[in-house]
Amino acid sequence: MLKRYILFVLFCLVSCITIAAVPDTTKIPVAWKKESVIILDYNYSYKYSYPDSYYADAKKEEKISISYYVRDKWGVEELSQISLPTNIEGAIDENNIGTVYKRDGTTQSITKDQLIPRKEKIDFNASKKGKSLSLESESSQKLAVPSLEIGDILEVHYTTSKAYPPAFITLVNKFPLLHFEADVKIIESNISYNAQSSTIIKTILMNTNEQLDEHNKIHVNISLDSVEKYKEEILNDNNRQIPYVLLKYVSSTHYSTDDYSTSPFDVKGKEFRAGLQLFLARKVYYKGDSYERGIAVQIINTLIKKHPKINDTIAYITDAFYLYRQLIAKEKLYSGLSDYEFKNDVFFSNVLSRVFFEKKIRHQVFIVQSGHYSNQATNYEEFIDPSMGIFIPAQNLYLFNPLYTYDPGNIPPYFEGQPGVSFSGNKYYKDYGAIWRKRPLLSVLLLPFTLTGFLVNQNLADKYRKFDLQEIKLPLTHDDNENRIVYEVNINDINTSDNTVSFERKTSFFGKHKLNETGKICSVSDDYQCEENPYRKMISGSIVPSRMGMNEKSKKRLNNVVESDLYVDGFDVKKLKDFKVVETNFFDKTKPFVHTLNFSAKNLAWAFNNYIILNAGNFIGEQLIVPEKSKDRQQDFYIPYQKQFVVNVTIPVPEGYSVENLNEFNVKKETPAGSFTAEAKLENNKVIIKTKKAYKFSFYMREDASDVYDFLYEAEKYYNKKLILKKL
Amino acid sequence: MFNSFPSLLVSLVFLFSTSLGLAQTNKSPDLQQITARFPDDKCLAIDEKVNYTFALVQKGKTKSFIISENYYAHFFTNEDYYSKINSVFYDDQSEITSLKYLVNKIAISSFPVVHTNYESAGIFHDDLKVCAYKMDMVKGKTYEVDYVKAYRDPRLFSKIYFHESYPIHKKTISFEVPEWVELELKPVNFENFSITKKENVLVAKKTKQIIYEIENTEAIPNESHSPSTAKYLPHILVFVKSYNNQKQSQSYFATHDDIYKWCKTLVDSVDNEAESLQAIVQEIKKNETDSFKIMETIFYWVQEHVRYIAFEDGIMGYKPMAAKKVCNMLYGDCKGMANLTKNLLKLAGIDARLTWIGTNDIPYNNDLPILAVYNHMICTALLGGKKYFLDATEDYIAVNDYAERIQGRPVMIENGASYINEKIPYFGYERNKQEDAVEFKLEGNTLKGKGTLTCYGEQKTNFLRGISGLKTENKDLAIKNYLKSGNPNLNITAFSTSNLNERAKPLVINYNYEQTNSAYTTSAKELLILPEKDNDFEHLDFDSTRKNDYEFNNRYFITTTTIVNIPAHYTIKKLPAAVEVKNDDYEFELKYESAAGAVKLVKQIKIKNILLKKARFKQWNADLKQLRDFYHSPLILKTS
Repeated sequence: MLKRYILFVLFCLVSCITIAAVPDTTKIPVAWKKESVIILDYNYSYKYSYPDSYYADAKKEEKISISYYVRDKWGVEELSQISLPTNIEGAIDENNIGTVYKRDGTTQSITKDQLIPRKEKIDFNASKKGKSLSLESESSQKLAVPSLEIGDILEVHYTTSKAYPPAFITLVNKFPLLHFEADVKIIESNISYNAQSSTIIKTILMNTNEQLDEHNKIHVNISLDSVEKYKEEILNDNNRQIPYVLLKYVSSTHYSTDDYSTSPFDVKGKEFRAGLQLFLARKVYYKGDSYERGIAVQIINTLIKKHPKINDTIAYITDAFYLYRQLIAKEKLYSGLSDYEFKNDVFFSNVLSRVFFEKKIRHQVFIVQSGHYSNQATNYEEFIDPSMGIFIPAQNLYLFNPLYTYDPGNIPPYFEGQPGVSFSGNKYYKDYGAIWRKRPLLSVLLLPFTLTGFLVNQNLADKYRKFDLQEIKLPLTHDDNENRIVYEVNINDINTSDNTVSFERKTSFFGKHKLNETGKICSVSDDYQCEENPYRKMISGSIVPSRMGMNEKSKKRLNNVVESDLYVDGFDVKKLKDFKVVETNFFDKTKPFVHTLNFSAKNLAWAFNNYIILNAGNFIGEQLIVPEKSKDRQQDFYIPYQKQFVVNVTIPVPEGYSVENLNEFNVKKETPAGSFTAEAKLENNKVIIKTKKAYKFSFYMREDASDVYDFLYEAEKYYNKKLILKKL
Repeated sequence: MFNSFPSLLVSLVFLFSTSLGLAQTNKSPDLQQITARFPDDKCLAIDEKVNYTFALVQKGKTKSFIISENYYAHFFTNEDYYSKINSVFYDDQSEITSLKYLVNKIAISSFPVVHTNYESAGIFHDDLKVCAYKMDMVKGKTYEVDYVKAYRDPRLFSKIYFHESYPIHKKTISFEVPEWVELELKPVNFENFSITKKENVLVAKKTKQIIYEIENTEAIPNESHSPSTAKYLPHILVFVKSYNNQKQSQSYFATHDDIYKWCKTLVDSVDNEAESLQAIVQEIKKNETDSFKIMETIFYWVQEHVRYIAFEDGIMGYKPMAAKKVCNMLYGDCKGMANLTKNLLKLAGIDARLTWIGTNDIPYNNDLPILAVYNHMICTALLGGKKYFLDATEDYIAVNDYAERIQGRPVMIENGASYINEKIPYFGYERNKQEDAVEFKLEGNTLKGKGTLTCYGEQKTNFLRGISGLKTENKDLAIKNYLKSGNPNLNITAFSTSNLNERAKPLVINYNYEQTNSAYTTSAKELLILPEKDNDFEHLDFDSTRKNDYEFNNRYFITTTTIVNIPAHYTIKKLPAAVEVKNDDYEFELKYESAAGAVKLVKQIKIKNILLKKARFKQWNADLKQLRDFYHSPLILKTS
């Protein structure tokens, strides 16, 4: 007993010494000598206990202690105002939320008085009747540390109850980290976890104990030393690169876990999918059901008229996709449902699965649930925040959410190559629909309760467990040629007196580029949606055909988008004369989205003495520049898909002039990662320049950065080339 | 009952003016015509009225003199949907006493309003607050707002603008001045606007009514490098000099002396606890005995150690924070920093005074009896019969050097019961000289050269300030980018700088560079060289969409000499013609001069006037075209 007591006293002493001691700066690596701020110590402790009953009973506690070492004036500015969560419950020491260890050896205490709310909100009730709404909520507060100087160490420590599962701890951030220690304890029955390492940190020292006792499901201890800070770099994906610890939360408080948290699988992790699946399904059930059914009926009726016999399934499905978007657009005007409700992937899947069910399509149609690429899932057990689509295996056709993609079958890049699960659309609807069909009266009577619980009996619940889940992997583009943009650029006029050049440009977008461009154009212009959506809401509230041509405001909005794209391409636009979408090919993934534009741009042509100097490199558009800071590469390369940019430029040589330096416009740089090639020739007194830039990778190791940078440098140099024309 | 009469009167007046406003909107002005006049604006006010009334309001046992701003506006949008955030500013000396919002003439009983501290960038509180509310507008409906804002201190009520961030079809600003109030109004910048003024005497109310009206005011353009609105927008300066209603009287600012007395009372009310700063003074001056050096050291210490955080209007706009507090917190606004400088200097035995000044954003002389003539405070040290104006908010400025924004401005220097009127010295554009001496030779098709860049004045302080605020790891890259001037063909291969903490001497950067895509050999064995690398102001042309005059950051004096070493066996064939533009606002002088085995490019650009008027844009564009053509015209060498 005495021994224990002595040990306890010793422990307390050591703890006190640790708290009172000035954080150690001697172990800072030499390589960090130019860092503005270094985190000397980051201690994170998180405890969550959820007793399997009600959300309100959950107990959460998060303790954070961070020591910042301030090295320059920028660091002083940065740390003189630190954002903290709004609901800091208290400091570890009640009145001391932090300490400044001054460089002269003195210390200054930071009290809670120095916390400044970001928003000071008062509801103003003009009428003095009833309560008004609040416009904005407080999201964070700031800690003012005004007396900070270079060389000081600022230690901040506080507890908060804001955090709740899933917990997400980012291990690499904007400051380098000398030492990190996390202790995470989750006492709950339905939880799984995942920790991610990366090229930045190869190994995370992590000790996990999942069986502390019958309740303590997870206890994770992580420690890390000398972690570089996150560096902004081109061609990367920080979700994939930055290590983090993620604790996935399995159950939801919004429905009873008793019925549905039981897994149809026996292995760990799959409960999550089942739980989420049912949660989403039910969401549609109580929120969007009437609209959804209405829309489905309209789609079905229209389809029946259009296709008395279903001979061509793919035509039928694409029509369904097409009509879905039309009718949603119309319905959205009246229903009051938000964009979110309509853009919800589940909504779409439900509608189409109903259509297939009603039409008794016996082809194999699957509902696909897939992860987003940023989730870094390697198999379907790991993904979270899934998205849903429809898959028709016979045609190898994927339809994703039509309000996002505009191009059925063209899988959005963030789902490329991602793992997922599929299950029969017929089966899905059949079972799901059974709830509604078998117990409509009960559903109506118990409607209020459906908001808090999914009221079906155990037999129905059992049916969900019989879904024939199949693991799938969404296809990945392997060829840069599939995702390409082709620019046909004709120079109409070279005017050296005002230094402008007039262009006629036709641009064809293929593959993923097509998705991006169509999405962008459709988001600003009604004109291109008229092709599909013949409805438009008038001020009076009535719905009229929308084919009334584009109004001036829409045109202006669209022109602004096009013009700003040209600025991004490096053109100093003098005048945008014309912009036209000439081919949409919304529903044919083999054909491009095409638009043309006429414009003139400034500062491109100069005449002096017997010469004309043309900034001809500019005609291919500005190229990706490798910033100085990216050269010393920290992260691996990642782009969502391989891609290609083809630019064919035709420059008429002004009468009486010859071309001097055509050869400078012939370059070729090929590496395993990609290529930039350019061929220039003179044909019928026209300079024809053909360039192609190809990214032939999706992932690339940082050790081989030169493979990527070499062809990018070549393109960058090319952009600045000048073409010299000489008077004959 | 009697006591509440004035407030009742105010209310009646307000109701009358509001109902008048509502009645006028019933005339339904031709919205199509109005909106056609402002096609690019999403929201406009058809009618906006601001009526100012003056009353003594009973508060407890005393009566307070209150100025009420009774605001009414009728808004309209031509958009299908437009969300407009309206905001009204107030502070510790004013409050919003009522706010009404009507849609289609139906009062909205409850709508979300946020009252919050106004925060732009800093972390620290000031007393400026904003009351903000959102109007979700759709086409075809009318939106009306009225509020009453009460000013408790007439000294802080000084100017009223006609323009807003949205266009206004008709704006009325009126004053109902009781005969017991002495008020003077001074119109500013009215000359270019059609503003009518009417005066009525309301005999029954013993009140004079002064009404200003303007039609079709455009939205205040949100354009970079615009002059301060006080310089070009019409506004009214309000001088509430006193009131005397027999039972109660009060004087405010009748003369400029009153301004000083009030400001002086405020600064004298601050308990600086200066004696506690003695140890710091000793630490700063160490064993220095020379008074000038002590002054210099203290001034630079405040610049280096105290972070500048701006405060806004209200009393805190005029009352400094205590010197000890500023020293402990190491932050302060101009007043806090000036006050600390003064107290540290006094402890060191130097005569130092607080000094009020209006920066060059303020277009008024400081002889007006109004607080709006001052928006800044500095410290003046009197040493050896000379005055040194010390503005510690200007990082990296030397003693005896003055920032562009305060040069030539009148100041009011504290001097016991009276004050000293002075002016800050005014320097020419030459103060901001930037001199670059460059020489290069051709290696293959690459220009390889070296240069020495020397910066003075604003060019120097802006650079030092910018660099000091950067992360250490980014500083080298930032200096390279500065030297590159956005030229993608330029690569800075090496550089060195003079001491970046040196204030009194010029900043010097020596650098080596390589320039590509700037030399071509033609089939006729001619060599085309484009030696210009900086292309100063090349893209600063103005199109017809710009509405405001253009205000440069500061005046410029850029002078560059570039020695082009002629390669062996080449001689000069053709040099671009010299450019010479000279006028009161700016000068461009660019020319090539022959030298032994070399060509010298001499470039001088002088921006002599900080403000380029819109009327001069056309000429500027034409002159800039000459400049640009010169930059892009090669010198041509031929084989000898």
